[in-house]
Amino acid sequence: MPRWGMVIDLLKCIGCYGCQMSCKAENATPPGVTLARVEVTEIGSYPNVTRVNLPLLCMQCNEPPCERVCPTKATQIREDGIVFVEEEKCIGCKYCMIACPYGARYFVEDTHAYFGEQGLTPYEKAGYAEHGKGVVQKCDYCRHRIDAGLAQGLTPGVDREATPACVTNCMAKARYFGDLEDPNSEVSQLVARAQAFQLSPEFGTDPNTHYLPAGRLVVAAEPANVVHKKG
Amino acid sequence: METVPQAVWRWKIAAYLFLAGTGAGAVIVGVVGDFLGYELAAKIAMGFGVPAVALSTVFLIMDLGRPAKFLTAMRHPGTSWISRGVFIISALLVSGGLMVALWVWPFGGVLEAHADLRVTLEILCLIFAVVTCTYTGILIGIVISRPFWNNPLLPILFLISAISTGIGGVFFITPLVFSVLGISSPKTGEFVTRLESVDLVLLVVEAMAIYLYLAMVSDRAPEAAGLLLKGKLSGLFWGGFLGAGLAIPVVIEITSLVMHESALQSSAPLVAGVFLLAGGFLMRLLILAAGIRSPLILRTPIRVRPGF
Repeated sequence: MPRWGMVIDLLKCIGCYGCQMSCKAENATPPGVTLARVEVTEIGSYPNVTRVNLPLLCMQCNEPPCERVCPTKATQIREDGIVFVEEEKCIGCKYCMIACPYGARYFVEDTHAYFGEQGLTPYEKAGYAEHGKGVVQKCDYCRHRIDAGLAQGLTPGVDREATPACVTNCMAKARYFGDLEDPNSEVSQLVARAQAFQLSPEFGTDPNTHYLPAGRLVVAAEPANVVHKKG
Repeated sequence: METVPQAVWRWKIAAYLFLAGTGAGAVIVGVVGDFLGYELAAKIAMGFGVPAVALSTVFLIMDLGRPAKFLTAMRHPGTSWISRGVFIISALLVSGGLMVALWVWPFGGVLEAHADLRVTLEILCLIFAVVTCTYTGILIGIVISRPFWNNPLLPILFLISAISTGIGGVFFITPLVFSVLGISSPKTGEFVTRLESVDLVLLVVEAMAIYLYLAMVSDRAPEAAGLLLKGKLSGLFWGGFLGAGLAIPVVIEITSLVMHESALQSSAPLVAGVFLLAGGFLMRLLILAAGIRSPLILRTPIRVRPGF
């Protein structure tokens, strides 16, 4: 059984928000919901300061706090490591949003139109119909693309159709996707590098999403704070 | 950048925490009161506390995205404190509901005749009430990525505040019951007077607990502590919670204890009760709002120009 993982190279990311937009296009998320997002931040302290574009999405934790706190078992972990919400079971208590350290979950009370008075566009109508109201949404590595691709005999991470939309659409090729159980996969090779790191591993989440650092000339390593915009 | 308060769980959850705490606190006061022989006061406290807990669940359900499915929240008691909470509150509502129905009203005679059953039910009520006040501190306290809540003092703080607001509820409701029913009871007045001194101690302990709590968390959650002490929420914290919710009841209670032999001779308990209840609600609201996420740590090596 594969365990899907992602690697995001912060040095390559140019902050174009292509992942954010392709995610919205792929998953038809309503306004305010950005399952993949980019936060621009500064790290370090004067005089060693660097601006970093930090792409964020669900980290697909091996030890997801959201799953543990879910009172209805709506949040589940698949055998391939993908954490997803079974919307039928979700009652919208938002405890998972409280528990997630990465702000990767969004409560959709109602699906508002992007273009106000014009009402829902045909695309919004079709896309929103696939999701419930009063539930929590999260990134699930585009599991519909992975499952459909696997059914056609494609390889996620290699074949575009079977790979998460944010990965295929990254014009800087800063995102990699594949099977972390396979030691020869591109993602496994990248994760094996010494610089690869998980975001805030001290929360005990053990994410399947990994990062490569924004700097290469390593003279001093210094933990830096990323301040979130959301509360 | 200005720190933005936590915005996932807002006033409805604060109202739930407040009413459940106040109700459970009043149940504790009622049980202890009955053990001490203040039967009428205990009935009033129970008659107030159990409906307050019942009302609290309304706010909890109202906050859900899909309120109609609220009963499915029992499905994951193995790890979810919301599931466990549903069982805890249900247990309190069942045992407390039986107390109210069989002792306070409407079949008052049943438990008068069966003293042992009454004591059993009261002990159950006491246990479930204490658990109801404290589990909410665990519910949010286990969230390690929100360091302002992630503190073992939180359940204790919630328990102290719950008993104090429960006393506040009894202060508020007892004079009203007496004036509506046109009765008076010197024994109940004596109990309320004793409650005043108990609450005075509780408020002082609560103030010390708040100080200790902030001292403990300010290291790991400086943004959250700053939010309360000097940020967006500082007005509500200093003026609302500490001023109106703690200091004013202390002054009223001291005055009442000094001036009157029996508390119910004046309207002091009624007024103190209002301030205690408001303070209890504000405390829940502020603690919720200060529970912001910890910044993400990016272990990124940064460029350093050699010789710079």
